[in-house]
Amino acid sequence: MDSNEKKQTYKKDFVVFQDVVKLYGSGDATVRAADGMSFSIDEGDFVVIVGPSGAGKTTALNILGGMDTLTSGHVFVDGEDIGQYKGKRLTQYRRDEIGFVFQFYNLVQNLNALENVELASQICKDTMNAREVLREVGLSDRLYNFPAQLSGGEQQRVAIARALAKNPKLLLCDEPTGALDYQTGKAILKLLQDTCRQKKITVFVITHNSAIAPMAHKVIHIKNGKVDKIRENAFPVKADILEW
Amino acid sequence: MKAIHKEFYVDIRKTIGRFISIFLIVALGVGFYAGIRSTEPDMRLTGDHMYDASNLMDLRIISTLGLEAFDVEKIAELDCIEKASGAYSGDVIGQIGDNEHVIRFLSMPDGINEVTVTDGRKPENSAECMLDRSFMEQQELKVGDKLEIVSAGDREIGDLLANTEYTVVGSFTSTQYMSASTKGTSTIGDGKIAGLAAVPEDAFALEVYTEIYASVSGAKEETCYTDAYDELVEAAADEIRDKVQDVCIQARYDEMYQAASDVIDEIVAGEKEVENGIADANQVIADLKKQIQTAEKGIRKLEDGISEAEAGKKQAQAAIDQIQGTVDVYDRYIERFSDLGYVPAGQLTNRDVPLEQLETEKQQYVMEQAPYKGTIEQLDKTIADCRRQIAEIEEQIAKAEAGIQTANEEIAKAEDTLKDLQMKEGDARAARDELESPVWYLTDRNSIQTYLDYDQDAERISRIGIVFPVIFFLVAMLVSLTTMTRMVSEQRTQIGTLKALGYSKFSIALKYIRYALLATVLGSIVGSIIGSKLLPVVIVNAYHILYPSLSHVVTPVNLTYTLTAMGIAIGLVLAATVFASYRTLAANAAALMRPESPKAGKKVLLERIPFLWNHLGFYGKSTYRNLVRYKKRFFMTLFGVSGSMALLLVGFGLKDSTSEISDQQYGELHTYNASVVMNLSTSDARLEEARTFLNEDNRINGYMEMQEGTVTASSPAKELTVYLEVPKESGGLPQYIKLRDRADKEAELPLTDDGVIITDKMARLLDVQTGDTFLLEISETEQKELKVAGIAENYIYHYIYMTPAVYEEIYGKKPEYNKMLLDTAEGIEEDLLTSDLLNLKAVNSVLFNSYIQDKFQDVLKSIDIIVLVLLISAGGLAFVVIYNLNNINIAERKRELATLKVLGFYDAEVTRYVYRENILITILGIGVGCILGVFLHQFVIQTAEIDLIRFYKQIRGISFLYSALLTAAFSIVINIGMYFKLKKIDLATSMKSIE
Repeated sequence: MDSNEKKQTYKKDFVVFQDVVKLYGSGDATVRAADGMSFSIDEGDFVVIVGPSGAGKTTALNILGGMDTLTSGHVFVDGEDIGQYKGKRLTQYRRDEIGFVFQFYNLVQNLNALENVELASQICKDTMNAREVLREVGLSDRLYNFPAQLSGGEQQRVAIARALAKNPKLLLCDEPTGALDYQTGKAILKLLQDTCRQKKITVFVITHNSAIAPMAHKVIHIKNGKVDKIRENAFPVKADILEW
Repeated sequence: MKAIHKEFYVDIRKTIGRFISIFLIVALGVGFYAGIRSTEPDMRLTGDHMYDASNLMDLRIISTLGLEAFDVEKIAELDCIEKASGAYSGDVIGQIGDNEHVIRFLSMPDGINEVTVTDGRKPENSAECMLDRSFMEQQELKVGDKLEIVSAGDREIGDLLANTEYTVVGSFTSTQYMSASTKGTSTIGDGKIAGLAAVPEDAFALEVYTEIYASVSGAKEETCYTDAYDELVEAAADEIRDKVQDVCIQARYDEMYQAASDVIDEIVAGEKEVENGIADANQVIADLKKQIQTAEKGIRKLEDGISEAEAGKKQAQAAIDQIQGTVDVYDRYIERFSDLGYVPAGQLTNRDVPLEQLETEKQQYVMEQAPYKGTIEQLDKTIADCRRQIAEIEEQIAKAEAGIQTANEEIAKAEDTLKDLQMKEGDARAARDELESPVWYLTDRNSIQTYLDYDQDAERISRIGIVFPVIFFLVAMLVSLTTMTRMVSEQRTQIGTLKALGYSKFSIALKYIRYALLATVLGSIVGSIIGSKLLPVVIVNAYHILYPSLSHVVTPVNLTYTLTAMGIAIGLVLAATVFASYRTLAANAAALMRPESPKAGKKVLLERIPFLWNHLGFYGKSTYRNLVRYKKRFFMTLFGVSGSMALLLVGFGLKDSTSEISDQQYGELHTYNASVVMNLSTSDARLEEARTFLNEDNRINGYMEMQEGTVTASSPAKELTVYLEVPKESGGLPQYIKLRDRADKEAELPLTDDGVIITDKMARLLDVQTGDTFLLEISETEQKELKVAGIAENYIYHYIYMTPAVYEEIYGKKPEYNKMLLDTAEGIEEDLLTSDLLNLKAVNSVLFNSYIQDKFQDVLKSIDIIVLVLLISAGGLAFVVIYNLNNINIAERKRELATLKVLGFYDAEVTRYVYRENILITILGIGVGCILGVFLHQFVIQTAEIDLIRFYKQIRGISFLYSALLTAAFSIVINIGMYFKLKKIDLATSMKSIE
């Protein structure tokens, strides 16, 4: 674990939020989901975004993931202002640069583990071998099982494999352990942390469980659509020694 | 319950798409069922209205001895008879322009069997007539044309009709003769009635009515073709039989007997007269003979007188002669002694006697002679007188003898006459003895061919009406099943909550039942109204070709069929609903609160073939697994799409089958271009002239002579009116008419003397095979067996083909070649050739096959309407199922689709992912629909086919293509509509927890 060395080869300010504002609705019913969010993340960081429900965590993640557009401000990813992307360009961004892990895994029920991974890898250019990825997440003997035949943790591993197979620049995880028990949750977090480290992928994890904050390089606290505070850990804790 | 009540309407509003799906499919099913089924009663009702409007007879009475005003009166007197009227009819051969046709003359109706004047006006005098509209149209006649009567068959024209020429003053339609193509058969001409002519009664020269038409009281109120109507009419017929028939028959018999007796009396009187004549003549002879006798007696008397007078004369002469002797003596003395002047004495006396004395004495003697001379004179006179009298009498005798001669001759003649009269008397008596009571035939409307045909057509439609709705009902059930299944599973949590709150299973189920019921009932009502108002009109209009006189179609909403259809629909939908909700409702509340465990993906059969499976992308894999996973949806969509395909195929197929009929018949089989009907009653020279023309005109490649006639063929299975064709040389036949096997089109059937060749439909109807026999009616009393030597492919009408030798053997006479089949050159002016041919005296009529084919195209126009109806239904069917499938698929997979979007799938890719399934089912559906459609088409055709025509059973390849493209187009249109729905799926849906 040599973060200094890492930081030299990694791009600085890989992800930058600049006064990001997102408004829903109009007139009196306007909701300010993001109200001038600003932060900056370096490449290869493991980022945890925490905050109470409705604070704007998901909005931030949606905007970063290209799932939603912003009302004003800028979002730079690897130098590109993705905040300006719309329509097909935005989809292409999601397709090529983003890996997404859902709270409820969102696997296609009809496809087995391998096929679920291939589902993602089939659509982008620079992909990883699906079997390889599944082996890496520890599912090499469950390749042909359907989601219904897998446990929650296993399903989430498939989901992570699916996200990783695309070779994304960012891995965005929305409450990845929300539907899992403690042990499994820890294992998944470990997988994410290892992935971040080994594959040099920038990982964002949304959670309302601040107990996992110590494992991040950067912890962003969000409150009322604004960044409340940002804490940096020079030496993140390994996921398997976390307790909550 | 109020809350649940309100929620019900909110639910409908929220799921309006589903609601409409059920509504539409039920409306389609019920509409089709009620519509087609109602067509049968509607057709009957339409017929009934039409029959009632024209006062179509309920009963028709004909008699072997004709009918009289007395009979009409007697029948009309019956309470059960509303009206009776006598009518005349008779068949003639009439000529219009250059063509001759068999025409049935009818007297203008008097309150029964009224005709509708469609053009011009009614005939006003005995030299005017109206012709039936279809004949006018077929022959392109117009008001003002002249109809000339050429022949009336066996009888004199004058015995039947008052005139031989009629002016066409109008056209008409009659419900008694509804069909444009079949107006009945006749015993004259070619045996087929081509046209009808309506004339005033006084245009007939008949003494007795040929038929009496009667309307039965109360029959109008009944609908024809029903048992009630039949019973009423049958009762009236019985009453006529019981109360009138015998009286009329007796009266007619008595009258005929009286007439026969009068004839005998007259003959007897004649005989008497002749006999009297003979007696008189004999008397005359006797008298004359007596006269002769008397005369002869007179003659004898006179002759006696003559003899007496002769004797007297002799005596007197003798006396004279005696005296003369004395006188002579004196003279001698006088002379001798004249010188002396005296007679010396001694000579006479002793004294001289002077001569004077002598003279004196002599004179005395001469004087004595005179009286005798007088006597003689008198007697001569008497004799002459007698002689004259005798001559007179002899003359009289001669006269009398001549009289006798004459009288004898007269007697001989009279005796001949008498003998003649006696023979006549014998005949007349025999005739009177043999005089039979007339026989009455009472027939009802069933004797009218078109009345029966129309009923059968209605029945056919009804049979079709059972099949089509099955598709719709089946799909309706599957649609409800999938829809309600989805709805129940969507509201799983809510059901659980309601259950937890204490609502009973039944009251929760009631909501879904009500939902389905409302959609079904609304759909039923709308469907049945549209269906039963629209479909019968469309179908009946299609029948206009066969029944040109069909008028306004009557389409009441038929409650029986509507309720039946509604019942079926409600039953099916409810069963589906209960089935769909049963399991969920049975689960306990707690289980319902938890999300339903997703249905596991399963390996499909295809995966066992890695070679294929590995080549499939995840789209393909997912699609196949989905199809297997959601069988209900799969089958619903498959049935719907294949149903849609099948309907289209039936529609296009119907068109093919009908259009192919004429193409096959006139393009492949009857390859001659035109037929010419010859006038065999012209001179041989004229016929030869025609042959020369046909030989020499370069527009004609060749011709073949044949005899054509209409005959009746029968077997235990059926009796048919068919054409009998006798080609002069069977060797040349294939150039004009191809006789070939239907299955093996290359196999030509040779026409030989071993038997006859009949056409396939005829064989089917008669139920005979090659080698079997059937009966041919030679005359009304004689039938002969014919052996089937081959069965030939044919589509229109029925034909028997036989060689001249067989014809001669059967009929005992040589065929008369009354028809020429022409093979004309390509691209000729048909009109020109027609008029050139008609200029020949021996040519009666000319008909080009191209003309028949054109006429056939008109039939197709009516099929177009049916195709359109099927097209709309097919579209509806496809729409409902594909919409429904998409609706459910999208609703159910919202999260999955949103996930795909998050993963970076473009809209097009997401769409493809969903549509793969639709496309695959559409393709499968098209495939299944092809098979289903072929069977359905076969069924429809077999059911709809009429006896005279064999429909072409095959559907053209292009129709498969059209149907497939249209089905695909339906699918595509709905899918495009769905694309926008897909596009609207929010990415955030992927974040939501499972419901």
